[in-house]
Amino acid sequence: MASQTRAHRWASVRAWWSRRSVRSLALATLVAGSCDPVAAATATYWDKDALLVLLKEHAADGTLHDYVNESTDASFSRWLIGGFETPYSELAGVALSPPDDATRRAIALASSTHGPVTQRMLHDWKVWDLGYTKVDAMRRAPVPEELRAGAWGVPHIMKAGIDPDLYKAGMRGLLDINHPAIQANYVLALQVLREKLTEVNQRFWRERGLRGDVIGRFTDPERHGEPTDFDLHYLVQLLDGELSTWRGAGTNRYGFRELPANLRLARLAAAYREGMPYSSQPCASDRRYMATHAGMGGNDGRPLCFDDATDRAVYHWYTHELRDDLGVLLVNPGARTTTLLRLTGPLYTSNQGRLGIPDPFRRMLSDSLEMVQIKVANRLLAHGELSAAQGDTVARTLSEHWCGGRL
Amino acid sequence: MSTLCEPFDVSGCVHRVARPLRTMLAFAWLALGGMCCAPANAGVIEQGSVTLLPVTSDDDNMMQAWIGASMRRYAYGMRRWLGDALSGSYGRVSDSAELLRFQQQLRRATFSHFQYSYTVEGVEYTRIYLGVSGRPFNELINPAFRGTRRLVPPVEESNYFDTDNVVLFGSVGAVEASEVTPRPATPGSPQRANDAEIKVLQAIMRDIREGTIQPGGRLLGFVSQIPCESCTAALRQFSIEAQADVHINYVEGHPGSPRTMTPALAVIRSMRNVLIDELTTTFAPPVHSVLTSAEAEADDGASTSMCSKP
Repeated sequence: MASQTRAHRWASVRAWWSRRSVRSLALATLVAGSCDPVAAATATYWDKDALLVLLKEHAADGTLHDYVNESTDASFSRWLIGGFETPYSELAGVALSPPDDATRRAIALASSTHGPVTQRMLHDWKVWDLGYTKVDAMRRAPVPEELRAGAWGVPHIMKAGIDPDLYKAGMRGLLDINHPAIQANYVLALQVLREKLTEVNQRFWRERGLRGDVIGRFTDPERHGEPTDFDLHYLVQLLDGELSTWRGAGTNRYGFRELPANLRLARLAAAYREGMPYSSQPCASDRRYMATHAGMGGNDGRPLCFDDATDRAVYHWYTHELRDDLGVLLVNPGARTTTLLRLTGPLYTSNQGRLGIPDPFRRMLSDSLEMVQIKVANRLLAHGELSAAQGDTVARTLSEHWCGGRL
Repeated sequence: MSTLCEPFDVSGCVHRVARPLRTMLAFAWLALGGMCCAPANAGVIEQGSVTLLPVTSDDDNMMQAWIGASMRRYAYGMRRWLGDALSGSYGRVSDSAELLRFQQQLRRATFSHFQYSYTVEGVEYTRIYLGVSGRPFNELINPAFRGTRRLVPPVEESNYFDTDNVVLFGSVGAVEASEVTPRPATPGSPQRANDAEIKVLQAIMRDIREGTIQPGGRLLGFVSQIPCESCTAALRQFSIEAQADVHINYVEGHPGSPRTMTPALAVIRSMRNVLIDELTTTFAPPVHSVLTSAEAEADDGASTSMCSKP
């Protein structure tokens, strides 16, 4: 068996070599041959990922166009919530239509890696990934030992899946700035970096641009030195990549389903905001929102009652915060300390997961159904599970939203 | 990230498969290096090495992450430049065809992201160099509109790219006496001076010459397509002159047909088209019949705004 595998590998390399031999030999510089360092992580990349398996199966039976156009972000929200969406909307408990062929196959595919999956489970995963849930489950869970002291907004940390040491690093040294949206960017970037370092075999870290040394400069600067300007740019670019792509849901260190990166960013920013004082408490004692004090979304700049808000609402609050932080500091440079200057600089060209051209003066939203679907499509493209033409079909639904600046 | 050999296994596929190949190529390199492209500093040939790694499937999104940073920053600069260029025309072109060359630039250009690291007294320093092939923006103005529109922004193009002491865009300009240069253009072959890799390598060489950064480092690159022969030779020359190890990950494949379209390339192509559609929608008027960048790609024509006229 082993020799067969080896022979197959050699055949693969020989085939490649013969195709390129003339060019490569003439230049005589090509040294190729490495193997997939993350094969194990990608073998079941569709596990528990409703959006991905549904898109994949609708592409397979030629119903992709109808599927991606059957609802918009707004119409899906109205259906799910049963009316106008507010930051504190509860799910309406919708009845699901009988599954079509593609949905049945998606259920079967999900069941192949996860055990029996029902249509309702698939729906619930989708609802979670699109940000319609709150932190009730995290509030009921025991507080992890490492977060019992020196941590605020623990349910949000748990939902964002942030390691305690990284969360706490976000309130020390360079990041001790009381700007939750900015802090969250750097800390989530550190978390993503740590997760990638775990996924990828150590021998490939350097060639993939994965720099473990950066983490040490935030968690233990006395030992590893202070964070550098390169570290800041590096982290923002790494995070931009994570926000612009779709990574399937696993289980985070606290035992909860992982969130997409943009929603993790929002929950983490909420946790840092919870560590700051409120002029009026937005939440009542039962942790439900107080209509008199809580922000109500849209242009209402008051803080949300994060414990009662959906991930989507927290994300929208976060985008307001970040735009305001960057906008104020950009037009009023005098308001910037040297530290803030260093931290905001890399963020001006951050795309924040919005698939398009960056614009620090606009709120860059990346949570819409249309934006999520193209990220999912890109993931399928990256795995060779979608043709370029099928990817174009999904992209068109997004591109049409460029008109009028709706995204 | 999948490369052209079998998925990695912890039993050591790299050593079993790649090492003989590396050895073979090392001999070839030594044998042919002097013949095909004599290094300027042949005495330090052993100081640097160049590795080119084709990526066919970007399973873990790392190519998208790094190359995407270069693409979006460049598109941001392009949009700002066009915004200024069109400020006297109500911020709009008269027809999306006026944007054709800008669209083609986003559609065809090589985008690259390089990190050059070096160590001084035990401390590692890194700079990020972004590279984009192609000509300056003012040469992308459609000649059919050039005379009447006079699109000339008031400031230098480099001012439209946000750069600082860590992130820079590569630009043309060889260091004196350096052989890190493109191959001379020959009849029928394209001009290579504006290649993304050349711009970055020359920028790094200038920084080394000025003492801003040190030689003897490591260059890590992510490139949106296979480096051409001219760039590969320049990479090798760079490794010699800068005494640097060079590792390049490049997106394998060609966009011409489904047969040569690798998964990694399909994603990069999709990212390009989204940028083009947004850029065009920003500056072009609504149309009766929307044509996306993906749809215009086959004949390399101009796509339209995504806004339809009622």
